[in-house]
Amino acid sequence: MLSHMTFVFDRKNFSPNVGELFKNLRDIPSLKIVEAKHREDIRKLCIQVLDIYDKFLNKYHKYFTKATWDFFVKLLMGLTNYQLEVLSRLCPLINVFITNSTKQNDSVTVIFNRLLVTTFNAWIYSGITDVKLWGVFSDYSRQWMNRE
Amino acid sequence: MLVAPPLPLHDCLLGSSKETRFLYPETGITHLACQFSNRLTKDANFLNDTVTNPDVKVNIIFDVYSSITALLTNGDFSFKSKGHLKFVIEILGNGLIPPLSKFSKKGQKVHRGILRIYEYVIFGSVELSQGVEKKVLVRHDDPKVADLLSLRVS
Repeated sequence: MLSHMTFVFDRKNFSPNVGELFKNLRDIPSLKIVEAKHREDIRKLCIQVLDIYDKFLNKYHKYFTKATWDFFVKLLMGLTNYQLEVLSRLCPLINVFITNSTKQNDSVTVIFNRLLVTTFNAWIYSGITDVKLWGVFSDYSRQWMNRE
Repeated sequence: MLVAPPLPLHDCLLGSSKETRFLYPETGITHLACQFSNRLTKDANFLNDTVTNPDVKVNIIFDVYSSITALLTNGDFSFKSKGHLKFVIEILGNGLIPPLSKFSKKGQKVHRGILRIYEYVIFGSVELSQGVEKKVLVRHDDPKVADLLSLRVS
């Protein structure tokens, strides 16, 4: 279930739901409203998922096995990297969307901030000593920091 | 030995503990979290294996979601077995696969509803909205379900 929930962060959901057509018609007021509503819906869903992750961590962390920690931390790390690194570098259209959104301090920024807090929180709670994982975390987090 | 509180679907939460390739892929390409979760669920993906028509798939997911939400609201819901639980979760999981707009005709509440059902399974309780402001707290305290979902951690 935890992994199912990462689907809501998929880049396809951050694209306007009228697809390519939307790009040419985005100045039409009614479509702007649709875009804003769509973005707000996705934001709420992502925040709801992050709330569940936080609650899961706070409520059950005492009972996590090493395997559970590994899974949970990898999931969050993969998700954060997907959002903050891959999303912004590999998809120019989304990159523009994110850049504009960041300037406006809107929903996407809120999601990024929450995602970082959740991931770092889980990492700190986990007390992971695995050298490989630390190496990956170090590499990944450097990319997150350098995002323009 | 610590006795954990009910921790539903623990093996599903764990996924495959041997699965580390998403971080250290043989190909040298880093797999993404979404692809990782795809692989975790695909082995028993009944819906994708048997139903190819996207509209039919959406209808099935919506029906399952609506039924469970109605049962939860009435306080009648419990899982018959662990298999039943997995089956339901798997069907609902398909509802979160993007693009979410495929549910636009069915209403936007579906995805939030699916997440609430997940919350109910994971934590044993969830607040469901009834009407505009009224919220109902639903708990599962069926001992059979608790037995099925409980876990001992050594």
